[in-house]
Amino acid sequence: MGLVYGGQFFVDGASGIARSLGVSESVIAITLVAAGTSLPELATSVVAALKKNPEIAIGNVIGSNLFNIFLVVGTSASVAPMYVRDITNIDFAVLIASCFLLFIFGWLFKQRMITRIEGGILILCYVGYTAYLLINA
Amino acid sequence: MNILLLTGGLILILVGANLLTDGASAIANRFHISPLVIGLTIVAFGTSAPELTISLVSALQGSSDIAIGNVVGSNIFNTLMIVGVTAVLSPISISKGTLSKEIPLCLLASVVLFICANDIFLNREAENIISRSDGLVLLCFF
Repeated sequence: MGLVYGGQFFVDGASGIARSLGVSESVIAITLVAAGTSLPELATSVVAALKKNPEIAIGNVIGSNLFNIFLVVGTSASVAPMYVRDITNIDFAVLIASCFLLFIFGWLFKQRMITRIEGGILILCYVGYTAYLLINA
Repeated sequence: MNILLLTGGLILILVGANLLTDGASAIANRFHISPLVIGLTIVAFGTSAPELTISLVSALQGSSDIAIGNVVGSNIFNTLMIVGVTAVLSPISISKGTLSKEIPLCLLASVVLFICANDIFLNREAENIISRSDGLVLLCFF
């Protein structure tokens, strides 16, 4: 119940904010909605890292990503076909590139290790991408 | 008003996901299922339940840009921000299996989504649609 009504309020609120700020729904979805719905993952992973158990984070992130694409998009599209209008190929390219970057960082510098510096680079990439979206909006 | 709706909705979702996870692990406990299995399935499901709700609701309401943007954005946020923040707090070591199987699978999933969403370019169709058949194919992977 909480999930369903919460979801409805959240979507209404998000598209309302998009309209009042004059930016497209897609920008709000990629930035605000996406970060909001990923808070549980962030909380779980940060707690795991603080308990010196950061490996859980990788499993959690990969599990969630697969779940999002296969189950979430799969179910949503089966229920109601999804029109891709304002989500551009740049967004899809960033998605593919970020997975690829994770793979490369697994190989580079220190084998099978995401170091602090590599983590910092990942954060900078996200900040850069979000800045690009907001500037273009 | 919109911000109230947004934060109120977010709190409801977080509480709902929490209750769902608690309830599910209580059930699993009663049936003597191992904590590892619970962690892999229920925790993964619980933390992604908000995405599922949002995308389903917005697809039904016809705001499919929110539905698809949410998934693409969440995955980018997960890979860059969550792995990034976690690694800065405490460097992550990756097992051989993760590097050779799971991360490439994640890459494949992103490419599949990219293909599904490129009807105009690939099929010369008028609009980019992730159709019912695309959706069912994605479900089969799952």
